[in-house]
Amino acid sequence: MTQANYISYKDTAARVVLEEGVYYRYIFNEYKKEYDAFMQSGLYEALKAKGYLISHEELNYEGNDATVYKLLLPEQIHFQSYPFCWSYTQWRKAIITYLEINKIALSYGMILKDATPFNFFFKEGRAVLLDTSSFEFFKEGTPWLAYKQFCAEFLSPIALMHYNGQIWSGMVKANLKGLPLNFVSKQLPIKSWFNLTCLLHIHMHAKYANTEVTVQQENTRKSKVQEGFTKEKLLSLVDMILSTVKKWKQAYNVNKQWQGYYEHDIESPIYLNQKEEIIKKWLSDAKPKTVIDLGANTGRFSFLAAKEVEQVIALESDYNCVDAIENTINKGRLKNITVMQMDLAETTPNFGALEKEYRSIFQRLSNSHLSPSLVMGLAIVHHLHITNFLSFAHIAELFARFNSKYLIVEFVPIEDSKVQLLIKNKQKDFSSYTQENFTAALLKYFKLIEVKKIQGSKRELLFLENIESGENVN
Amino acid sequence: MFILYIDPGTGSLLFQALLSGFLTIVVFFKRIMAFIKLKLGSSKETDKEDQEHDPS
Repeated sequence: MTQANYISYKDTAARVVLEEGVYYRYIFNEYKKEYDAFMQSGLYEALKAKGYLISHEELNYEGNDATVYKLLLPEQIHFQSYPFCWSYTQWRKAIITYLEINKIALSYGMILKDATPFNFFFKEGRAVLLDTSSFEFFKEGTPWLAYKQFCAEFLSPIALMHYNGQIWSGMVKANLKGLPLNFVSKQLPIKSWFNLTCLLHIHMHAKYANTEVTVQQENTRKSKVQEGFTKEKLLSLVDMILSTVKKWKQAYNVNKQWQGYYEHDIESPIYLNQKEEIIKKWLSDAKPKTVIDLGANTGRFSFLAAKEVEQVIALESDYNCVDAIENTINKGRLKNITVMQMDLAETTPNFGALEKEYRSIFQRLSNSHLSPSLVMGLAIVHHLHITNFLSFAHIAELFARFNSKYLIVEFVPIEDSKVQLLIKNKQKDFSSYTQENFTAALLKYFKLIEVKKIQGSKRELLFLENIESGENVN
Repeated sequence: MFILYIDPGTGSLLFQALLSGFLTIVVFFKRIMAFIKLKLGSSKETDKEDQEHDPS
């Protein structure tokens, strides 16, 4: 284990290492007691049975590092969306799962020692904890050490989204360690002061979170025996927060721009049916393992693709649409769709410690476990070109960065009413906005397989294959 | 700046001591409620909300 540690450097109990495309977790001797208790008490099995925790198998460690106690092969995660790309429903699932895990863990005498949403990923519509070495023994009468982190990293974002809108999910990117509680307290509306969970855990907590304490005061505090929680008290605390979050069914809605697009705003049913037929045919020809649906809107074509392929990853810039897709996933119990918020003109870069802790969206989606993949960009080119000012060369490069084998892209011509609406107030010459120019830009990375006109509109669908599929253009 | 040397968890721990006091009252009333329910012989039904949520 000589390679540098960027993924799990904060954890002294274990280390996650990526070796030849496979993730391993090394459990260190210092975590032996906790790990053994976690496995032997039945807690691991209980959480696994509920689908709350990633599964793993123990391997024989043949290395010579004396600090290693166990070598684990966890279930491999082929794609993880980061919390600032989650919609409200996804945040709600993650926080509820976190609290439920703590309730179960407490009944086994253990507790989660940290509280970061980055420890969760979505699988088959569920939030799943990926950190097996997060559990420690709960000692009666001690404080909940992850309490502040929980309030800052879990409770604050969901409260802000519930009272002020889903855009607050994206603000998590601005401060990965959680927004300061006094800042959060100021952003929340007055009515949040009448909610007991917000009042106690955000507003009042914020008053104390930055208290200046002298060494003498600190020692006096430490001498008090009963300063923490009994198991019963902690369970009451968890229940209180859980019941609030369960009541917060929706985020405050500030923008309904895209919802109902297909129902109210589309040109003709003939257009939609034809588009579906063509895409279905091309998907069955290409047989990709994964479809990456860019600009998924409310997911009509993601759901269509999900019937044809193993896995669909849908990216959409509007949090409300992401939430609508997530809710449809819940209702239909659809297991092979993952959805996340992503603005294609502001894609997630590599970030975190030394920019190596968290990976860019292109790196995560270029994962060999997802290949062969097919990128679907339906009716987004005009948004990227006109609204976001990306040139055709930029857009072609953007599509190529996903390293997918195939590309299905829809071109909406200048005379289309939607394009006319976009260019109406733009004082710019759009005479170069033609399908010929767009196709020419794509041909740098792709070869054209087929072009089909969609009946009921003047739009066209292009089916292309990556010239260097599988090779890295990142 | 002096403030950077404050342990960020200290204020939170102080607050938890207060919270613990508040929870003493909560737990006290919960126990009374549980006792009354037991005496009335009504076993607590599963909360509808719990069923609704189960993140499954």
